[in-house]
Amino acid sequence: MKYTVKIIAVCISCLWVLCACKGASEQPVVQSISLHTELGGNADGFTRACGGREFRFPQDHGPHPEFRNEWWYVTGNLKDKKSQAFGFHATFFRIANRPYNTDQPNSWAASQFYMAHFAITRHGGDQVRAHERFARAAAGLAGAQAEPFRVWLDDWSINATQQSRADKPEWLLKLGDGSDHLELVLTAQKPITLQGDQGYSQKSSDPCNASYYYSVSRMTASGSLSIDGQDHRVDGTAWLDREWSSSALADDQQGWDWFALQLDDGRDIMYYQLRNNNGDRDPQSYAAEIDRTGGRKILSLDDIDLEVTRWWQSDSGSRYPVAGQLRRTDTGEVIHYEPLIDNQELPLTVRYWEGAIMLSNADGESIGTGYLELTGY
Amino acid sequence: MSKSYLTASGSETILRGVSFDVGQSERVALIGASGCGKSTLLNVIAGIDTIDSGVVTVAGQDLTGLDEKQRTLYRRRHIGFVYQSFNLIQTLTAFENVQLPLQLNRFPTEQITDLAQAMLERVGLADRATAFPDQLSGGEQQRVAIARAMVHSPSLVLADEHTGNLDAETGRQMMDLFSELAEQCGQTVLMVTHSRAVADTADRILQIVDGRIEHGDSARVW
Amino acid sequence: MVTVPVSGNTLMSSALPVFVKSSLRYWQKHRWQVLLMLIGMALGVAVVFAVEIANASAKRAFALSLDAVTGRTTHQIVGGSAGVDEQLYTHLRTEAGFRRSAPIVEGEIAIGSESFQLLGVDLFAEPMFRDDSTGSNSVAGRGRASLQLLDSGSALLARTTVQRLGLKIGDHFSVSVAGRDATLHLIDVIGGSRQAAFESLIMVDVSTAQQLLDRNGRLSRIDLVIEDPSELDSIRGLFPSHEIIESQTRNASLKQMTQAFHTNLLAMSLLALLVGAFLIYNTVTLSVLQRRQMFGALRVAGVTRRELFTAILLEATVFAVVGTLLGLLLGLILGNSLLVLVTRTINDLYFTLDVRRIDVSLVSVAKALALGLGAAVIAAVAPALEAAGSAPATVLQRSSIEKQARGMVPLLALVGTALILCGALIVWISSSSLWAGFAALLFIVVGYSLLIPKALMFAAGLVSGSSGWLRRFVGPMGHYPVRSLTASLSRTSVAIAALVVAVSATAGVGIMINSFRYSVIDWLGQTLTSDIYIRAAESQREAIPDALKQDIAALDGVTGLRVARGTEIEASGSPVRLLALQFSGNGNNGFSFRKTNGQGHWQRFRSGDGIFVSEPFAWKTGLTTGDRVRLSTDRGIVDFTIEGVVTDYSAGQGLIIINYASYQRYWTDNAITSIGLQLQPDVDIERFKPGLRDVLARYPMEFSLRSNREIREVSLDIFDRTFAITHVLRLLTVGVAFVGILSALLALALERRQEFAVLRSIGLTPSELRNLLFVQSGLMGLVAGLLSLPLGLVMSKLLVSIINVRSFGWTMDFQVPAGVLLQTLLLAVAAALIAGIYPSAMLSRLPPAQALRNQ
Repeated sequence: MKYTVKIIAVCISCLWVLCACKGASEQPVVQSISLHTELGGNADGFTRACGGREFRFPQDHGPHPEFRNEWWYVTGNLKDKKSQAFGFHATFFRIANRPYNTDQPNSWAASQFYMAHFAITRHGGDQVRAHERFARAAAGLAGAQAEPFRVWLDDWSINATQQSRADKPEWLLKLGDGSDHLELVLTAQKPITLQGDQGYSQKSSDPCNASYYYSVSRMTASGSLSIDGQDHRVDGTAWLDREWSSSALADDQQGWDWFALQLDDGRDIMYYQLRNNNGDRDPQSYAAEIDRTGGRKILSLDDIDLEVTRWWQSDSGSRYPVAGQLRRTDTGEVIHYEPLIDNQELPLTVRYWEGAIMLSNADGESIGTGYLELTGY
Repeated sequence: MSKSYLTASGSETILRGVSFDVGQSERVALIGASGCGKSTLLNVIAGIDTIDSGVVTVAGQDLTGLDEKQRTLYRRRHIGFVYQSFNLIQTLTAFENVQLPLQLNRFPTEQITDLAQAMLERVGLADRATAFPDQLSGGEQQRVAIARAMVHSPSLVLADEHTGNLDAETGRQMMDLFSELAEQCGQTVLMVTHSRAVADTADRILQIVDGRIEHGDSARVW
Repeated sequence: MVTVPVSGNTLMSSALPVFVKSSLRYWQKHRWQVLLMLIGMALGVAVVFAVEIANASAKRAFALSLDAVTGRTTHQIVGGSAGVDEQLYTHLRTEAGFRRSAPIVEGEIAIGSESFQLLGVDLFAEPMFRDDSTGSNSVAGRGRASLQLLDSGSALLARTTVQRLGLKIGDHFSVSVAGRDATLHLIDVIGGSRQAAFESLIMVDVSTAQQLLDRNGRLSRIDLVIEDPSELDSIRGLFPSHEIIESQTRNASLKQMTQAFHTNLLAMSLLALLVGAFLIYNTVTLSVLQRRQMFGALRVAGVTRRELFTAILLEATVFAVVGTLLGLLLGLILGNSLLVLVTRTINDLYFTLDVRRIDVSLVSVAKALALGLGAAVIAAVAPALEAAGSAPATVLQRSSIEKQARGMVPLLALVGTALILCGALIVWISSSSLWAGFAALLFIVVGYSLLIPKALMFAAGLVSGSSGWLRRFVGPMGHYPVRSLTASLSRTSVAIAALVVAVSATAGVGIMINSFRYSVIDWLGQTLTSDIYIRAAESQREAIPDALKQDIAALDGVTGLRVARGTEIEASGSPVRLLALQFSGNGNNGFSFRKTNGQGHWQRFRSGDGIFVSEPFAWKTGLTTGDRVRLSTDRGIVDFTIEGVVTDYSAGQGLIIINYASYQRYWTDNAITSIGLQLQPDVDIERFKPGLRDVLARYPMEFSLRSNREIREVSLDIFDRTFAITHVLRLLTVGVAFVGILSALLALALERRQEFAVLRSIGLTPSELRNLLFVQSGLMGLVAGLLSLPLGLVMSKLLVSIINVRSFGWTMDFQVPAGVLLQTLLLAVAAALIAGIYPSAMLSRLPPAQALRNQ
C-alpha cells in the first residue's frame, strides 16, 4: 500500500525550482504543506475509491489518471553468485496536480507528474544508495500505459516482456543513476492478489478514504546489478504493489509500519499497522497471508502481536524500530526480523526508512526475507 | 557741494560745502593733505563720481541733473584726465591710446590720424607711436597720457598728481609741457598736487582742509 | 589641514599655514571662480560617471539576466530558425538517458509598453540548472503552490517588477506577444538577492511559453550540463544536424555585441572630461597669476620651488576632490536619464533589455574618481610648475607668466603637430582596433588644441592688420577686443581650446550622424523597392497561402511581389538576422553591394548555396566574399558561400540574406514575414489600399499594411532615437565648455577692471563698454567656431571612416552639409555670447570711480 508515497507526494511540492526563489524564506509560506491536505484533503474533481470495483487486467496494470495518486512499487531481496545479499526498491509514483483533463493545449501541458525512487542496499554496506527523479507526465518524459505495459520516467522504466501475460506479468525493470544500475526481469510466481475487500482497501472510518490495491506478492527477479560501479549477476524474489486512490488518510493518523514478508516455505505475509496520533494501532490496519498457490487469508488484527527489539537512530535524528518480532497468537508462529543493514533511511525529498530485512525463527534459523517500511518517525 | 561715502564704519563725509568757481582758461591747483578729498573733487567734476547735494556746473552744464550716460558723454566731450599712474591702455600702442578720445568723439577717420599724429609730435613722441605702454619709460607714458587728455581739445583738463610718479626733473619737464599745451589751447586746468613747484605754476591755489576750501594764495600755504 | 611630505626643508611648516590662510582668503574673494571651476569639473566628471554607470548598469543587467537564463548550463543545443523539435529532447532524456538537460522556450513579450523576455522552463528539469541549492530540501517550505507553474498561464515575476507594475500575487495581467494579447496569472514572485537577474524576465512553464509564442512542438534550445568531453561527443552523435554551442562562448559573444556601443559612449564622455580639464587648467593658471605677488613674497622669504609646487598642487587636489564628488552626485542623477537612452538604443540595435535601476558599483565610482582627480591634478601641474619655476623676482612681475606663455607657443605648436602626426600614424598602422581609433582621435584632438595659441596669434595679426571693418562694426576701439585677447593668451587660448574641442566634437559627431542619416536614407531608397509592404505577425508559423500571393498578384496595378521571411538564427555563437527573399517581377534588386564574389554572384545566390551578408556581419566575423559561413539549418549544418557583402543598417548584430528557395530547401519553414508589392507608377497607393485590404480580409490571419513612405519615416524615427544619447552627450560637452568660457571671460573682465575704469573715465559709456566686452566674447566664440571647423571635419572623418567601421562594421558616405558647419559656428558664437552676458553687464555697471580709487 505504501503510504510513503503520499508523504512524498506532499513534499514534492517542496521542490522549488529556481535558486532565485531561495530568498523566498522571508515570505509567508504560500500554502502550508500538510500530509492531510494531500492525502486526506480535498479530492474535488477526482474519482474516489468508495467501494468495491471490478478489476480487469491488463488494463489495471496501466494508469488510472482520474485518481489523484497511483504507484507501481517493487521491492525485493537478491543474491549474487557469491551469496552476497542485496535489497532493492524501485517505485514509480503518479501524482496529479490538477484533476485529469484530456483536452490539453499542447504536448507539454501536464496535470500530472511522476516521481520515481530507486534504492539498493548491499549487505555489509554503510548505507542504502537512494536516487530520486521527477518529470511531468507529458511530452513523453514520464508516463504509464497498459498495453503493452510500460511505466517510465526519463530512462528509468518498467516494460512488459514478450512473455508477459495479464494475469502473470513478466516485467523488465531498468533503473540507473551514476554508478548504480539495476536491470531485472521480474516474473510472477503467484497470481494477482486483490488486497482488502476484493481490492477495495479502506484506510480510515470514512469509506471514501480508501484505495484500490493489488499485489503480486512473489515474483522471481533475475538480472544484473551494479552498486557503486561493482557489477553483480543477481537472482532473488520481488514483491509488486499497485495502488491508486484520491484520499486515504484521516486527520488523526500519524504514520505506519508496513511488512512484506516472503517465507522460504512459500507463504507471503503482509502486515501494516496504521499508527494514530496517540501511538495506538488504528483499527483499519491490515494483515493477510498468501499461501504458495496464491490463496489469500485475511488475518485478524487480534492475532498479530508486534514487539520491537531494537531501535536505530539515523543521523537526521529519527529513531526507527528496525528489529523485532511478529508473533501470531493464532498459530504461535514467531518471526524475528533484522535489517540487512541499519541505515536504510532514504535521504530523499521525504525521509523514510525503507529497507530489506532478514527473517529468522525462534532458533535463529533463516526462514526468509522481506521488506519493511517505517514512516512518520 | 557735499559728498559722503559709505564705509565700513558708517558714512564718511569727504566733501562738505565745497564751493568755488574757475574761470575760462584759468589754471587752478588744488592742494591739501592726503585723504582730504581732492581726488574725489576731481572725479565729481569729471562726472565720474556724483555728489550728494549741491551744484556742479562745467561749461554751462549742470552735472547734477545728468544720468550716467549723459555724464559719460559730457566727460567724453569736455574732460581730459591725467592720472598719477598714467592709466594707459596696456594693449594699445601709444598712438592708439592718443586716438581713443578722438574715436570716442566720432572724429572723421583722417582727422583722427592727423590730430593724434600731431599731438604725439607735440609731446615729442612721434618716433614712439607704435610702442606699447610697457615699452615706454614713466615720463614717456605720462606724455602719452597728457597727449590723450588734450588731443580732443576738452574744455577742462583735470590732472591728479600727474607728476607724482616721476622724478623731479621729469616732473618739471612734464609740468612745463602740460602748461604749455594748456596755454596754447586755452584750456582750463584743474590739478591736484602735493608739489609746491607744480602748484606755483597755477594761476590760483585752492587748499582743501577737512573737506572744505580755504581760499588763499600760494604764500599762505607754503 | 595637510601635511606636505617635503624633503629637507623645515620652512614649509611655517610657510604652509601662511599659504593656506592667504589661499583661503583669495578663493573667498573669488568665489565665483571656485564655483565655476567646481561646476565645470563636476559636469565633466558627471558626464563620465553617468555614462559609466549607465553602461555598467546596462551591461550588468544583461549579464545578470544572461547568467540567470544560462545558470550552470555549459552547452546548448540550438536548431535552425525554428529551434529544436521537442521530441529530440524527449529522446535525449528517455532513450539516451541524458538527464542534465533542460528545455527552454524563449521569446519576446510585453506588458503594456515594456518589453520582457519570456522564459519557458520545465521546473522538474530546472534544479540542475538554475538552482544553487544542492537539493530540493533547501527549498522546502514553498508549498504546493510552486506546482502551480504547471498550470497553463501561470507566471513568475521578480518582486521589484511586481511592485513597479503594481501587481500582487494572484493577479491576472495582460501581456502581448507579437501583437496578440494574452492573460497571465501571477502565482508567485521571485525575491531574494538575485531577483535583479530576473527583472526583465517573465518565467512560465514550457507549455505556457509554447502557447504564448505559438510554437507548439518546438523548443528554443536545450540546455546541457556537460562535465565530461566524451559526453559531448556522444550527444553530438545524437544530434548530427544540430549545433551544440558552448554557453560561455555564446554569452561572451552576446555581451561583446554591445561593447563597441558602450566604448563609443565612454569615449564621448571622456571628451567632456577633457573640456573640464581645460577649465581646471584655466582656473588654476588664473589663480596663480593673480597671486603672483604672494608667491613672490613666499619665494623671497625662502619657500622652495618644490614646496610652492606641492602647495599649489595640493590646493588643486582639494578642489578636484570636491569637484569630483559633486560630479559623482550629479552623475548619479544624470545616469538615470542616460540609462533610459542607452537601453533604448540597445533595444533598437541589438536585443531586448529592460534596465530600470541604475547600478553603481565601486568600480564605477573608482573609475570616475580616478579620472576626475587625475584630470584635475594633471591640469594643475603646468600652472603650478610655472609659478614654482619662476625666480623670486620675476614672480613679482606682472607679465612674466604671460611672457612665458607666449614663449611656449612655438613649442606647444610643435608638440601639437607631433601629436597629430602620431594620431595619423596610429590610424594608418592599426587596422581594426577600436581603441587605437579612439587613441588616434584623442591624439589629434589634444594635438590640435595645442596648436590653438599659435593659430590665435596668427589670427590676431590678421585682424589687427585690417581693423577697419571691425571698427565700423563696433564703433570706436575696434582693435581693442582683439588686442586684449591676445594680450592674455595664456588664459584666452585655453578657454578657446576648450570651446574648440567641445564644439568640434559637436560638429564631428553632427557630420557623422548626418553622413549616417544620408546613407540610411540612400539605403532605404534602394532597399525599399516595393511600394506597399504587407507584414504578418513575426511568430506566425503557418504559411501565407499561395492563394493569397496569387490574389494579390492579380490585383490591378501590381507589377511584382517580393516575399520575405525574417528570422533570427545563431551563427558562430551569436544571434544573426536571417532574411530569406523571393523575387518575382522586375525592378531593381534592392541591394547595394560593397563587394561581390566576381561574376555570376547573382546566379549563385538565386540557384545555389550563395548568400549575401551585411557589412556588420562581414566585419564581425572577419569573413568576406568567397568565404564560407556555417549555419545550422533544419536539415543539419550547411556551409554557405558569401557571394556579396551588402550595405545594411537594419541589424546591428549582422544580417544574412538568402534566396527564399534555398531557405525552404534547408529550413522546414513555409512562413512569410512580409510581402512587398511593386505597383505601376501611376497607381495611387491610398486608393489601392482598400482593395488590398478586401483581399487580405478573406484570410484568417492578421496583417499590417505599410507604404514605402511610412516605413521610411518609421526607420528614420528609429534612427533618430538611436542617436538621442549622442546628442545629449554633445550638449553636455558644450555645457562644460560654456562654463569654461564663462569662467575665462569673468576672469578676464575682473582682471581688466581698472583698464575698463580708465576707458570709462575717458568717456566710454556703459553701453559702449558692454558692447565692447560682448564683441570680445563673440570674437572668442567666432575664433573658436572657425578653429572648430577643421578639427570637426577631421573628427567626423575619423568617426565615419574609422570608429564606426571598427565599432559596428558600418561604412557610410561622407557628407558634409553646410548647415552643420554653420551650426557649429553659431553654436560657438552663441555659447560665447551667452557666456559674455553676465561679465559685460557686471563690468559696465561697475562705477569707474571705485576702480580708479582702488589703484
